[in-house]
Amino acid sequence: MHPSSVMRAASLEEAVEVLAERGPSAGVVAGGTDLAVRRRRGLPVPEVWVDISSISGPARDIVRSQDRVVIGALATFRAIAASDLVRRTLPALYQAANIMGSVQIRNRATLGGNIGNASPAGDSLPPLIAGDATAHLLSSRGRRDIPVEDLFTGPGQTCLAPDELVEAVSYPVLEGAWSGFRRVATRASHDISKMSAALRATLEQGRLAAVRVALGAVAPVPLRVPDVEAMIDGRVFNGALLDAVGLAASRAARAITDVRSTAGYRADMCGEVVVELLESFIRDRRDPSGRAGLQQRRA
Amino acid sequence: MPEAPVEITMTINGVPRTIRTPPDRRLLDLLRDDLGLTGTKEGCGCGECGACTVLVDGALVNACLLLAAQADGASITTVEGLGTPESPSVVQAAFVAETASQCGYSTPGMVVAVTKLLEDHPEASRDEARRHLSGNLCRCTGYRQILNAVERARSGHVTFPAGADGVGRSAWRVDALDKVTGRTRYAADLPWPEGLLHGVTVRSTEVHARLVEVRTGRALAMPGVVRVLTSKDIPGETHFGNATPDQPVLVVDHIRFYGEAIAVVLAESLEAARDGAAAVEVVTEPLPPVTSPEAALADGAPLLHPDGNLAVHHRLSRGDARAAMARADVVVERTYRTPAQEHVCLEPEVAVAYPDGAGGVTVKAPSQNVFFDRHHIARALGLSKNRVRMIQTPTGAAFGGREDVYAHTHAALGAVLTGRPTRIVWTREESQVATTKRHPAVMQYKAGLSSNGKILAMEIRVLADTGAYQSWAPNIGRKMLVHATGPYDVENVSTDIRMAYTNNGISGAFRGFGATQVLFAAECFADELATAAGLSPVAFRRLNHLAIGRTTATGQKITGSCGLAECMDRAVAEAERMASLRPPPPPGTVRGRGLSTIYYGIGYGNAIPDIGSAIVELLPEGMFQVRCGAVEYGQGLLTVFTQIAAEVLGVGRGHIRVMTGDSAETPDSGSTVASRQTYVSGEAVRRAAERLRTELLEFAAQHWQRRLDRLTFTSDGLAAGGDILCSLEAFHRICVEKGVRTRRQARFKASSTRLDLETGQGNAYWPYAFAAHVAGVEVDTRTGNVRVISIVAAHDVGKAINPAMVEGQIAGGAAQGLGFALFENHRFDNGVPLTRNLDTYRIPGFTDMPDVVPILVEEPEPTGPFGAKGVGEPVLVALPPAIANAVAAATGKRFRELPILPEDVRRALCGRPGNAGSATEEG
Ligand SMILES: Cc1cc2nc3c(=O)[nH]c(=O)nc-3n(C[C@H](O)[C@H](O)[C@H](O)COP(=O)(O)OP(=O)(O)OC[C@H]3O[C@@H](n4cnc5c(N)ncnc54)[C@H](O)[C@@H]3O)c2cc1C
Ligand code: FES
Ligand code: FES
Repeated sequence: MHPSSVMRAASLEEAVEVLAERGPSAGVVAGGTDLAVRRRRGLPVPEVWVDISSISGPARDIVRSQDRVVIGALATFRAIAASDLVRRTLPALYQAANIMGSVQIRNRATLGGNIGNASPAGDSLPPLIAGDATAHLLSSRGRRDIPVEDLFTGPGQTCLAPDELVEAVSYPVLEGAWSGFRRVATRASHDISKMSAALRATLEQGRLAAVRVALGAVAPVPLRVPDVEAMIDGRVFNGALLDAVGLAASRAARAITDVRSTAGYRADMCGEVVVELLESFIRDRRDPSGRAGLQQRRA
Repeated sequence: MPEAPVEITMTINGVPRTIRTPPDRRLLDLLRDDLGLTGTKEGCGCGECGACTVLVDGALVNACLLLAAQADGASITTVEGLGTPESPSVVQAAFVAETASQCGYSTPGMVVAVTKLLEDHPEASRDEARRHLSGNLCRCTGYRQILNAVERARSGHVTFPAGADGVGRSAWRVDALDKVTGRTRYAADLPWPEGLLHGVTVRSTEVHARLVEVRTGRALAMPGVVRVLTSKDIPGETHFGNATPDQPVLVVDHIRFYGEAIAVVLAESLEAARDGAAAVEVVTEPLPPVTSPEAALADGAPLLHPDGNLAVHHRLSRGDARAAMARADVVVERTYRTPAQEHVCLEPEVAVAYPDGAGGVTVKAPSQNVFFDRHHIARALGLSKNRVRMIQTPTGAAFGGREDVYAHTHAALGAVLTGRPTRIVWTREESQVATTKRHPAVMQYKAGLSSNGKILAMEIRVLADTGAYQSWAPNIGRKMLVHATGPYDVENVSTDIRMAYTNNGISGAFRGFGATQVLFAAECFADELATAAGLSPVAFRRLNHLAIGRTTATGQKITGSCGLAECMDRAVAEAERMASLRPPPPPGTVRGRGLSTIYYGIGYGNAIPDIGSAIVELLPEGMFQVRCGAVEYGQGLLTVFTQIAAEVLGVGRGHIRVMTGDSAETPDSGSTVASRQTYVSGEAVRRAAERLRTELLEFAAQHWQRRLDRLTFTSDGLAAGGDILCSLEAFHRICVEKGVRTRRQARFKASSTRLDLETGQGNAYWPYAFAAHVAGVEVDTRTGNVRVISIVAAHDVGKAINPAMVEGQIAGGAAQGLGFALFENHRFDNGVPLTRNLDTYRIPGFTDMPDVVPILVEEPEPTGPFGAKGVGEPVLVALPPAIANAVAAATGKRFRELPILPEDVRRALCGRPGNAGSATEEG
């Protein structure tokens, strides 16, 4: 499949107008790092590519707006990986942005594209879900908000209407919260996750609170795991808790075996990685000067 | 159908340009095909390899992923914009000075990425540089010298050492300046001649089938399609093959693997050829696939070839293994497995053929042997050899992967049949499914030891998968046979090697040529035997190693040079020293070190005529020209020949020109394989240069009435003591006037004897290279990830003609060995290939490779040029078992199947039974 025409949109508003006019044969291209690969593999791609990659302004900005951080859909992973604001307010996303792809990929790949592509292995997705992020959607009919965790309906599928776009993503700035991201992959860098996980939590009077845990690449969609969260929330950290959480996280996985890894390993890694995240959290809290202790308290 | 072209404006390398281009054109194609900026390469087309890296508005970008239209208004810098051979940038110069490019195909993208890295992070440490550069893959260098170049460039000024051209010096590569500036033209970079046709191959989407019919009508009716080639168009022999002609040039009636070439659509444009290929209808009747060698040899298996599915059966017996085994105090049995490994030459297969107007053809393509290629092409075309000229283009690596012809014959066929130049460029996906792989092998080892740990007997059975065709299977099987015991003196040996036809792609030559598999098994086995004998790995090896005066499994007595003991001692000592300096492992990880020692036969062996041939000539312009049919593909042959000739003739590199790889202009010097060319052709160059020098100086002594021992050639001319008698140009003139020939040819023949068919006894190879590697690993006990943290690689190379290039070979081979040990596995699902591009077939990147520590042991080989032997293959072979032994040391678990995946390590560490079954046991 070849794109038969490429049109440049000057704004996301213009892009959604074109999408509405042209119907399902049109689609947006941002960085193109997923679309180009789809095209090469002979998978369906839009006929009319509406290029939104050169739109400037708020669509690519990362800003604080009262008690939320708003990231434009066209923010590249490079921008997120360099954002002090994200580093302080949602370290999990910052870490994911730093490890995803290569320098070349991060220079082009956008947050909107990562969401639009809806791969269960999309590295920004567990951090966004763990960070309680909301997607701000735009279409010619107007705007609506959907929690990121509710966006995905299957591999490569979202609940976005064909003429609807992600305009921005925002997440609440939670005082005192810690978050972290880990992924498991073959190569030390420039690889795709075999599985990934993000955890956000606070510690209130020795008890874990505001816990959110999300897993990547272990189900048809990025997965929030409320069972695991419930086990942690309100509890005092101890070794027994870790064991139970590890087991529950493994059980929560609905992984498959594919060319990258096996279902069993992915499930095992869910347990290991979630436990490791919890341990890091506790370690950082005990030694807040630690490198991973990137807490917004110091924001 | 694409809409009308769009007009875009860009500033390219500082020059504003307005270009009309179809809207679906990739930036990469615009740069390469429309603007002729061919320095930017395509290696994968999907963002994985970084060969296409350019700067778009100052940011590094994969030009293969970007539509040109998306870069409208942008400012673009390609490698050509950074510097020229005449005036290279600091980074480019640093790449030259540090020998950081080999085949050079990854180099332009790498140079762009390094340039940007140093702009943004001038202080980056080696590890930070690794992370920043991880979007650029290199298959040749192992990254070490690239990182050296980063450090060198940081200093801001780089000079090339002058006068360091002789043998034993790290002279900078003669092809480097062109490579680092993007000037080198690989076959896909050649200018498109008038009337060029583009060929796209129609491939089987079935694993095993009868081909009933190829319907070309629809394709031929499509706009731009000129011709569709099928097997019916082949004027000569329809089948070819290195060992035996069992492989069709285009499928005749029997499809034997997924991706096999069935037809080639020739059209006016690449797009038209692609669309035409999609319109060719292939009618087949499916046959049951044969997907393992075990199944292939089972009773009633479908036959892949008329003579049965057993393609190769070699046997070796020395002494009486059975009787000795019965006497042994300890008997150990183990089974090892290795997977299919792909070469991943960063330059995919490509050929351009030019009709000569008289029914003949010239083919320009990457190659490992222009004479073999010419033979295969001429046979298929039904032409005599002198009607086919094969010219090797600068080759984006080979590693054995270019010992088979692919696009060459198809392009030649197109050119001859249409009378128009024909260009065929394969995609990475085609390369991955349709080229040869390293033979997967199952290796059963049994040994009997005396109570003090001496190996009394070994019984070895190997079953390997040669896929649909033989390619070099019999020769590869023989190399397995010779090397199977490892570098040990074992008096009683019984070895049985079988290779079966299956529908799993094709297996063929790959760096190590069969020895890679058996030496993996043998060197893991050596550690397991040491454990059984209660000895340390070092002590066990010392007790059993080959040494001068000891005898190999083929009954060959080692004479001349054997640096095995020195390699082992130095590698172990260095590894210990390094480990003692390392901080303790982070929590959750365990570390271990593993040793392997190998021997490796250089050259063809088995009495196959192994001849190097070279011509050295004084040219009218006062230069010496070396001509040799061997080929450069990154290993540095042009530079080695230059250094040898410079050393012998006494002139600087500026006065030596080397011409290689042209079937019409250079003498046949055999294939550039088997680590043989420095040894065989290097010696031929040395002899030809020596002969020319001696005879010309004798003439000069007479002519000028000088004492012969006072005369020399220098870069300034013919000299007597301190005086220049005349320039080299003038000397050439005088020679011509006096009827003195200014050209000499010399040959050198390596010696080996034919192995006895029943017993496998004979002087299999000459010489042998020896090596010892120590790998250090850190295993994450939670994820099972194995990280290689140190590699010490000691190689007995006889003599390093160019130490920097030898070190480059060592680091690059190590990277391939690391990939083989830890992640590379070309996988099939019932014969259908799963790993079709670099996104799923993972090769090691910057962050996977530690800095290899090379140790050069120089035990001069009396028959080699200046004592040199070969190093190209041993560098890969030695590492995988060292890594496996290190993982065993770290975890207490023995992994007998490659690659050692985190999935398996994790399972073993949790004490769960694995799918791999016997492949993983307590060690
Ligand atoms: C070599 C390589 C390595 C990679 N490594 C990683 C990795 O480590 N981790 C990872 O997560 N991903 C990785 N990716 C995938 C890819 O880079 C990311 O998914 C990236 O975020 C996609 O963004 P893009 O702007 O390039 O998307 P595009 O390719 O432009 O678009 C992707 C899809 O999203 C849609 N889309 C784009 N923008 C929007 C929007 N604003 N609203 C709605 N839909 C939209 C498009 O229509 C399209 O369907 C890698 C890709 C490559 C080629
Ligand atoms: S060709 Fe673009 S990354 Fe490989
Ligand atoms: S030099 Fe890097 S791929 Fe050959």
